[in-house]
Amino acid sequence: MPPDASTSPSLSELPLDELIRYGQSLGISLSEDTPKGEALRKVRARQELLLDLDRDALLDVVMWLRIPVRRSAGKEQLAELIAQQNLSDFRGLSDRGLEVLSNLWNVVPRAGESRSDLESRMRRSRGPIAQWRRLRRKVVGSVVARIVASGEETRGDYHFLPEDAPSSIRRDIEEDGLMGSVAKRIRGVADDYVHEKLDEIERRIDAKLDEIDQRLGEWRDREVAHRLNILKLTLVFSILVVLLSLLYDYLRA
Amino acid sequence: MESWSLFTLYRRILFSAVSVYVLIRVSLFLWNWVVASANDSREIHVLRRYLVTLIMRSRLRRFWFDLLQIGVLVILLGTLLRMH
Repeated sequence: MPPDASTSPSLSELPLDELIRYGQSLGISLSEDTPKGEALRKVRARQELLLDLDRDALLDVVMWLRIPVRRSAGKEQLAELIAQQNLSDFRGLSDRGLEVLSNLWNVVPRAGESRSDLESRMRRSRGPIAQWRRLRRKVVGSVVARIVASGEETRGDYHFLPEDAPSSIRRDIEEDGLMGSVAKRIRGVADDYVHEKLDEIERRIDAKLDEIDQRLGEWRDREVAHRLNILKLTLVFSILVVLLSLLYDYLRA
Repeated sequence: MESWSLFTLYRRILFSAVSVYVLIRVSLFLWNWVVASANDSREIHVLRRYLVTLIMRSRLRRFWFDLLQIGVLVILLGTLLRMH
């Protein structure tokens, strides 16, 4: 879905769960119980923000993350790729890249703020638990790298993915004739449409399966918690009986 | 040799009854699952594998407090039983 105003009506027609998932893919923190109005407002705000952000700066971030992407990738696709990353070390990222990243993290850069201050504010915005997790992984990573890695890792130049080559009408007519090339183009358009629809259906089915999986996981956890509670109650009851038995022995003695 | 008393009789009967009850319930539970998943159709096969995956994906860390309580209760029960 491109981030333009024309998508707004279809956005409001999306079911809440898909809207939330879409918002989360753009890096917005939305919980499952977010009201639809609020989710819609946040998603639209994010789309407006994406319109304001510099695409080249977003590309800077993606290149810095070394995620393979086409040079022609849209802002929304770039934002989705960036949102999937868990970052806290911004070394090597350009200033404009850091600025758009901070905007995506809802950390608005202040006038005259130094880069290091902005970086530390961005790190703090992720919360202490995320920082702790990152620190833990950093320690584990350095230990494992020391054991496994053999020498300094070198990073080669970044390369974009190849673009889809546009076909030439002249070449198509040369190869297939006029009617053949027209038929081929119509068939290609129809195939693209069908593929797009099939992809959309597949995405929806995947999302539903994920939801079912999540609900089954919740049911499993509830069931385990329930069984553990029963076990605790049984143990408490057994302890009471043993205490009673001890008291009986004591009185009898 | 343990001297017989009313409470000893009560303890023995309670222990036997609870043990038999637990044995029957657990056996029935397991048997029901064996019967339900014995079908070799593809759906049941997929469901069986999914269930195994679902169980293996559960994280004990989520229930650490309950497990801690159970551990303490077991230690307490063991200590009290040794005091007999």
